[in-house]
Amino acid sequence: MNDNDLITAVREPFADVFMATPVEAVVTRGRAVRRRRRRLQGVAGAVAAVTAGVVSILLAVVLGGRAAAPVTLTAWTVVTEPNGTVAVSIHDLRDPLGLEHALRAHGVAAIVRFHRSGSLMPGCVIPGGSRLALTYRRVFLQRPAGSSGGALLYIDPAAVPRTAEVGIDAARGSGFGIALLTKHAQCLPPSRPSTIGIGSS
Amino acid sequence: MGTKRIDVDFAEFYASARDDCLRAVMASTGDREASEDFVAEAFARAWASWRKVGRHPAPSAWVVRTALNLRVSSWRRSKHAAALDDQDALRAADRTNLGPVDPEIMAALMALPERQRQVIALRIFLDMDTAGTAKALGIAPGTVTAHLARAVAVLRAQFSPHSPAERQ
Repeated sequence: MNDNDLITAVREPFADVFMATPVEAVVTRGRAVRRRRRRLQGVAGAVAAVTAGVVSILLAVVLGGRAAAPVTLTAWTVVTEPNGTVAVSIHDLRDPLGLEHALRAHGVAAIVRFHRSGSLMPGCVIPGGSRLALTYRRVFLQRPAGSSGGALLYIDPAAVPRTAEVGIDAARGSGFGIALLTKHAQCLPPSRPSTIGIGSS
Repeated sequence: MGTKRIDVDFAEFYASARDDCLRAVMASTGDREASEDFVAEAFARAWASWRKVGRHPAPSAWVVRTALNLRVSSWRRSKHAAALDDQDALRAADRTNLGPVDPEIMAALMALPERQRQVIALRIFLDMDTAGTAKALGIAPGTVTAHLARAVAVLRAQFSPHSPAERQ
């Protein structure tokens, strides 16, 4: 038996096999397939969008709570440096509540006030050589070792007394003041505002 | 490509290819009714993707390959079928599922390994060459040649005069 005979031997018994399904039934089924495919694509898109939203919210909550993610806005920037200090840069005196929340997310309880002019935080006088002055120096750091530099203010969250909050008070053209405040926003104890400038002011 | 044009093109393709696709799938599966279901579903998917399938170099091979994949998916969904090998499947199948095909011919085909059956089906029923068969099945052309040679050798022994199949 040669190859042609073999092919004929295999093919011939199938000669009476015919497809009975009409083309209309196939097309109807095809339309259903296409509808289901489009519906699944729509659901997949919606699921992807919802998942992305949930993930971003979870990341914001989890990472924000752990003070790990830098929060960057045009008005100000809060970054936790590798050495644990929180670097604060203020570019514009906007959204003080947002800055408070960002600082809290980075482990710094803070009260932030921005003013159009004048009226800085009432002067807080730190007795020279006191333990409180030492606490201030531990909380508000000069450019710490290992920091990237360039920030306006460096805060060590671990050095902030448990009963205190960080106060930041700024006015356009008048620099800004920093202080440790009681929970009632009172100076701990009153001290003179810092004269470190903001941006070009 | 407009919807009407798609329907016309597809209807022409369906009319010309449906029987050969069914025969090829049936030669691979050994079940007439199930093959018709798989092939009809494969054609429906071809219609749903006709902009792509219509430009395929061998749309019939696409349909057969899809039908065979559907059969595999169907098997995987069925615990009972998954436990059966081809011989068991043939024995368990109702002989009426073979339609007009001689059961001994089908038995000879079903005695082949599945991949050899698929190669035979594409070569004989779709007149595909080695390269096209290889592309349709996702295997190397050399593998197609080897499968074909082994399958032909076995079938020739089966169909030759005084072969065991014919003595039965």
